[in-house]
Amino acid sequence: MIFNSVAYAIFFPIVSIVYLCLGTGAGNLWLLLSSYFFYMSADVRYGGILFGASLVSYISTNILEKTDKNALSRKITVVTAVSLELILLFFFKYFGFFNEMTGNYFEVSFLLPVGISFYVFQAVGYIIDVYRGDIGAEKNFVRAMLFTAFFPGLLSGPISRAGELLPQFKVRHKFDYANVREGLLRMGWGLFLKLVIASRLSIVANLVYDNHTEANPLQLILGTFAYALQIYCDFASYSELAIGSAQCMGFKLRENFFQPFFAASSAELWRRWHMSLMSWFKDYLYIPLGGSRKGKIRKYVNILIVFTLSGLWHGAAWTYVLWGFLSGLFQVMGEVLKKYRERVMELVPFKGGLAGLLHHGIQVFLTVLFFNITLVFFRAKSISQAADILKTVFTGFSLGDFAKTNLFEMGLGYINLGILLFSLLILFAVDFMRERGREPQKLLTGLNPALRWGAYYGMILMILLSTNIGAQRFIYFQF
Amino acid sequence: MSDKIRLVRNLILLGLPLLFMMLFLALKPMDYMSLEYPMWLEEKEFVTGKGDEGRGYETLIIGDSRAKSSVLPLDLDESGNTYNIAIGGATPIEMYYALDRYLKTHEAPKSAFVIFAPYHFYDIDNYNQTLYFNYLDIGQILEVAREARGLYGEDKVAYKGWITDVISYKLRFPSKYLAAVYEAFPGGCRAENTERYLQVRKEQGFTLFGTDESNNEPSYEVHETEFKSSGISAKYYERLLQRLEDEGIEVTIEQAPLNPASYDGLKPEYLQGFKEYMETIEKKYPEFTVVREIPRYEAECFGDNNHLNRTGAVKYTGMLKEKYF
Repeated sequence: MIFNSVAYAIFFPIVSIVYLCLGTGAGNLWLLLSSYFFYMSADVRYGGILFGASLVSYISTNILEKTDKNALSRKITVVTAVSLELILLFFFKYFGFFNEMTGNYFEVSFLLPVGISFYVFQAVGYIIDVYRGDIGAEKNFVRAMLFTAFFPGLLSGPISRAGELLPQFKVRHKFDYANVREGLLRMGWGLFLKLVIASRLSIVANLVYDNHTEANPLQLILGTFAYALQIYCDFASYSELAIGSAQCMGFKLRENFFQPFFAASSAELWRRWHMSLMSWFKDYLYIPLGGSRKGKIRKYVNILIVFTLSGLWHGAAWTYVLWGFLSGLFQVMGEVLKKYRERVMELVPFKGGLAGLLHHGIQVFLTVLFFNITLVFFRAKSISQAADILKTVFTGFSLGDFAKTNLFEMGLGYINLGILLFSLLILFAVDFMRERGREPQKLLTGLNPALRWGAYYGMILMILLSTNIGAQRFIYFQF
Repeated sequence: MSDKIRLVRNLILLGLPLLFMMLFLALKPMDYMSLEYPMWLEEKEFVTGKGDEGRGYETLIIGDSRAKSSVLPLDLDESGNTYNIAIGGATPIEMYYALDRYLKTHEAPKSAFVIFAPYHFYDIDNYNQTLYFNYLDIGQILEVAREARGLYGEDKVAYKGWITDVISYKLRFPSKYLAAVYEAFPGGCRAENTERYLQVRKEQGFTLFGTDESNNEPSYEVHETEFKSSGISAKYYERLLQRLEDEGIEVTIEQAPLNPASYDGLKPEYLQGFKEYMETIEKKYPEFTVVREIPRYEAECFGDNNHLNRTGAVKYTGMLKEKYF
């Protein structure tokens, strides 16, 4: 079941209203059953895999809770549990990829359950947290199972931490107008991002990438920028819908995006993009690998490992692996060149004011540019296609492309292009306000009723009129 | 005002644009629907007795698009007592309910011609269109899904997500109809649709599909290798025949013509399977007239690869008239 569907429009109000009427125990059981229904509506078999991942975390965390901190059995338990979770992920997500590398030695294939990377990582994080003694194991079976299965974040995150989410299942959530209003506003914004912006951008990106051999370099650049904005709006939309759905029921999930395209360096961009995953990698991989504590070279290697694995996490294909590696490489390059860049800046006589703004603007532009270069590998069907595209852009680009490129011939007509540009302006304004520490939703709710309702209706109309345009499925579902 | 009431009030107010859109989509389908729609609407209104005050007809033509475009009721029966209730894109499923609706609002006809393309005895290629045009009511849709359990074609009528699709169509969710609205507007297509509707009504259900003066492209059946008669479509075909028999209607099962490329391209085993199926029907309903042979008409009779043009329809109707009237 996807958030932008009629099924969810029926499912969500029923589940949340019933939940808010029930007590804690019955409410959690209701949420657990609803979450399995939500997940299994796509494929009944998915339920067994989710149950398996949840059961491993439930049993192992309760064993860990009972074992002595220094006992060998504790280490054996955590290694076994994490291995079991990762084996589950390997078989259902990566087996085909490795089998293909061995020339399809095994004549079997496995079902790829939607969201498996998200809930397996959530379960692994929980097991490690209990192992480290950061939190206690959840003894209540329903709550423990619900932690992995909680439907708002089940398919595409945000990846929750047990220490944050589990305590919320112990609290009785009652109807709260402010929460529901805030949650619905976030859901509305999520639908706007997905249906009005991302779906239109998908038309441009798909047209360019599906016909990349016929596209000129400028079209390839525009297609790639369109895809960068598409994936941002698409995934941020899912996160808004997930966080908003949870908030309507009184839950608070982690934020997942913080205006990534305002970042002034690769490292900063990755602290703002898919924050729940990047912080997961930081806490459960980067720091255990030594982080930045063991010298610069080790730090750079650790960054490359983390980003390469994050690429693999996204998809079982070499394009994703290379995308992850390149993202790490740009971050390492940023770190290495940092002191030289600072020296250059010291030589610049004008600081602050317009010069500062220009400097910051150049940093943001270069960050987004490098991000887009890596994204070619993320979007391309193969490494050779990505290489072709980059080669065409870097060797074939000329100013004459501007004369040959007509924006109206990139899959969108006048009206849809107009709607897209207007919507991107709204997105920029919202992100800019957030960047400046202002909350757009508070600004909106503080407006006089006529303007506020005008804005609501404008947004609703744009959403309704976009329900059949472009790609309706969320990109991150495949991960 | 309590917070709960305030929330409900605000949700209702926020839902107004959606409600207005749904009302427009439900009340003004002729303004935006494609040209196929008037034919479906005309048929549905006819079989439910709207517009003719439930006047009974002596002969009904029942079938799919080949029947719709092959039989000219006014040529077949100059007294005007024949009506073609076939629909383009229909299978025996839609036709069973059409007959059911007709019999509930009219006196039973004396006779009926039943004409389906062999393909439609097992393949349901347009059920989504049936849902899209809201031709069946919810009870009928649920019955189809129930009847289809375990049968060939179940995946076409009870496919993944069909329940939400049905809800979306019945409530006229914009996501389902916006493509048509965008296609039709800014001008809208009420005038063309109304003209088409009136044309179908004037010709007592007859509708042309292809407009070529000649066509010898192969039809979809030439790609078929096996005739399957175990599906939901065949089940409804037999329900339809049973209903006709129960009502004491004189039934003639005829075959619509194929162009030379289609006829010659049919695989022998496919044709054999079809004929064997017709033979079982003949045995089951011995009082029915069953024609197993598919006529082969020259290319000049075809408006497209599947349907007769007017020349072909005149010829075919003339043949039926000579044979049965």
